[in-house]
Amino acid sequence: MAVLEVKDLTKIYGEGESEVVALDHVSFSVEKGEFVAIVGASGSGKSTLMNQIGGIDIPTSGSVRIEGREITEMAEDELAIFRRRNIGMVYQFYNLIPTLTAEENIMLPWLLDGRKENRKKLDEIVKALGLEKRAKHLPAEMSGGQQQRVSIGRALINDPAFVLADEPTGNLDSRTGSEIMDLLKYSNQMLRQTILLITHDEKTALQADRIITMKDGNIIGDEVIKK
Amino acid sequence: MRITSRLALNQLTRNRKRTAGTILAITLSTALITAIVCFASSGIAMLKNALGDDFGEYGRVYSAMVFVPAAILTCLIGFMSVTVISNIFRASANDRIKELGVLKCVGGTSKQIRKTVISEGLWLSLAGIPSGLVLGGILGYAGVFTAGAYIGRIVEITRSIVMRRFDLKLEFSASAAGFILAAAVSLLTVLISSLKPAKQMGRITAVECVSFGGCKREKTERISGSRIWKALWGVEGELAARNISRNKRSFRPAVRALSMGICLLLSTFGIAAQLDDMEAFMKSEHNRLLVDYTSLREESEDAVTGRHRDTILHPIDSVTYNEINDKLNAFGDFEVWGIGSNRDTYYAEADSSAFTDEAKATEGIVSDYGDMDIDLVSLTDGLYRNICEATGTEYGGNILINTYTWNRSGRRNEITLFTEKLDKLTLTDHNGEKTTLEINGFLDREDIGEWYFDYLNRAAVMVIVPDASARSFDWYCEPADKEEEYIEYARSVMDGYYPILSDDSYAEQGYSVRISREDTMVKALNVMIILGEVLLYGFVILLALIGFAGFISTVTASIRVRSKEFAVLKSVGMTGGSLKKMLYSESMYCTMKAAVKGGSAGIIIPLLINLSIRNVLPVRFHLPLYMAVLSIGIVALAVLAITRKEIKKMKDQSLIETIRMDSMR
Repeated sequence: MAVLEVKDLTKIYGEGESEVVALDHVSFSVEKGEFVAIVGASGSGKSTLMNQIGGIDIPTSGSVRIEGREITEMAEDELAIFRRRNIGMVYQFYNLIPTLTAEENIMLPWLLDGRKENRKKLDEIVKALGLEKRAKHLPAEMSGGQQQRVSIGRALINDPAFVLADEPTGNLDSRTGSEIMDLLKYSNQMLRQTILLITHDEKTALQADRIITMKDGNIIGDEVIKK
Repeated sequence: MRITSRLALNQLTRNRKRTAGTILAITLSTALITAIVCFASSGIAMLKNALGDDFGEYGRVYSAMVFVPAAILTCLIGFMSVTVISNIFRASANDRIKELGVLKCVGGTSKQIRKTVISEGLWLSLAGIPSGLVLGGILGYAGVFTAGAYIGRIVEITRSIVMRRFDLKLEFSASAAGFILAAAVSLLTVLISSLKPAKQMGRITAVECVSFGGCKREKTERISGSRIWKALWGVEGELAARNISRNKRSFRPAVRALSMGICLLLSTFGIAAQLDDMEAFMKSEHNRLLVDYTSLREESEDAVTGRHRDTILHPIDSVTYNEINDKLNAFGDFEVWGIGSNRDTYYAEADSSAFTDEAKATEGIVSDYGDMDIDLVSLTDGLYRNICEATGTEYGGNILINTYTWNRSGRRNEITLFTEKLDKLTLTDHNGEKTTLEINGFLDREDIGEWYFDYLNRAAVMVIVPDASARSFDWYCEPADKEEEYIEYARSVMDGYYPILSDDSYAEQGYSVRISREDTMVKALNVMIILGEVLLYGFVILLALIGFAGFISTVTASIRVRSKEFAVLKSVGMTGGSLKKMLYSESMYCTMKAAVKGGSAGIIIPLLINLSIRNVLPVRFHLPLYMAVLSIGIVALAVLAITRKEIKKMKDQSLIETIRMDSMR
């Protein structure tokens, strides 16, 4: 079953002469457990695609279905609640809440949902991420790699339909970057977590099972990597 | 604790200086509201003590006298507080924009975003309101105590001139309900202040909040600078003007707060100047003491003619006032003389053929019935003889005081009313019965050395009629150092004719006898003015402090938000001096804008107040140029000091670190 189905997705910025077509009738689908990399040069439309799939921006036209539910028709708050329960986001610049500890940042979707703390699950994730000693630390007290691990933990805490990772290694050195990639692969292989990785780095993309290539708002390639 | 509240609390602990500033603003606002509630409840208690539980006949008027100013002041404080506090919240929300964006991205709803901004307000209220209530209680107590002392002094001074005895005692009175009301109003102020930024933040989309790759989307429209500012401050001024233009919404509350500061200062100076003018008008150049007799009058309407009828219950006749005058003179060392008045018996028919040209051109002298108010002036014999001699009138003749003084829109006007052709006046009483009053002489200001009839708007026609009875009569003298002995003596003389047997002799015996100094009213007014000024300046200073707290938060937030811009400017070669110049010129730009807005309002408010004062007294509004310069100067100095402090803080920031940190934020 497809966890994500994108059909004729179009995003246009501006009007008239200043009109820019960032996404031009993009269609694809992602099956549960897939590790998909979306690659393309700067300005190819990959970040715009991520914003639409992540439900944080509204497309001009087209459809985005996540686990069978059409998100483009959802009201803002309905979409917010859907997002915290069904989508995990990992950003290049981590985007952690600076006043919350690592543990609290990981639990943020639960806290927003008003759910009770599941200590066992939290400990499992913290352990898997290797953050036991940093759990009570604030983001400013951690290295970039550690902050990105917290960000991955936050994305995984709700067992989402898929994790959307936007250049997760872009702000890290190569060693830390590969550690982060290992973590994503681990969650994909061991937990059957669907991953959508957005990157401009072909070497990073090659670690995925499937690569979708974008150019000028269009998909110009969609290939499965044989390993 | 909910995550929204916790995030709000974390934000407050992270920005301690801004939190302290906001708590200070909320504390001051609550304190001022509490002090006003204390004043209002103490005022109500004072009126209840003096007039009874329902405040007597004019209960509604007295209630309005307490509640209307209290409501106006509360609204003023509320407006100022909302302006300042909402600006602080907006700055704080802008500071958290990325955090709020992250919340949105991980599934925070708009409601939760609004809640976290409002929670900040609630946390701040938790600290600011109780401390404001305590400070307000202390301020209210100190204010009521001070005002009470002044009111006691006013009552003491005016006791000799009021006809009906009254006791006013202002004592501190505060109730739990009053404090709850003040807390509720303050909480409402804070909630209103946080609501707008909360709504704005709730509406903002996740994409707008989270700048992927660390670059913010800036406004794209073209921003114009200011040629004048460029000429004054150079390229730094141009940059400053553009920045203000780009961040209009951020600077607007700061300009509004400064405008209100200037407006309040200027209005206070303007009102104080008018009070001083009123005092100067009332001031007498003599050091006279007067003994006053006034009869009660009964007012009604004549059933046949429909005219107003005044019946003097205990008129004083010429024999009595001359006898009293002789007895008062018997005290010795100084001369006593008296003037009486009866404006209640007749109207004078207007004979326009005898009017001077200036009288014909003057409006309001002749009533709708075609007649004029007339005052039959009675004098003690000695004074009358002197005036007869000065005017060349035969003893026993009626003398027209041919000088009419009145107030026209705050200007004192004086005209000669009749030509000397006038030889008689036809008087009409309320029944319509006519009497002829012969005019045997004319008294003009230049005929006598000392002018005894400087009354403003008293009656159009004043005629000295020998042996006329009067409703009220005043005996004047200058007893110098024998004042106390003379007062005792005069009291014993008056007791022989008009003994005072009750506290309210005017109502109960039909007359009053008062012995007072001529300048008592001026003294009482002076005390009132000092009291008014003490309270007004105190209020304005505290309100201005709230405004400055708002300005500090705006400048701090602006400098913080633009730290990267400053670092970039420095990196391309802008010197520290130039940067300072740019920031100072921004502050001055705000001050000048505020000066135009606040200055206009600060001139218009006392001018509007003067429109009602000038109907009664010859006090005009004059453009308070030096006050305007002083008010704007005070605000400009405060603004410069605040900017200087913020610039100093920037000095130690590392250029590269600032640019890097801004990308990371």
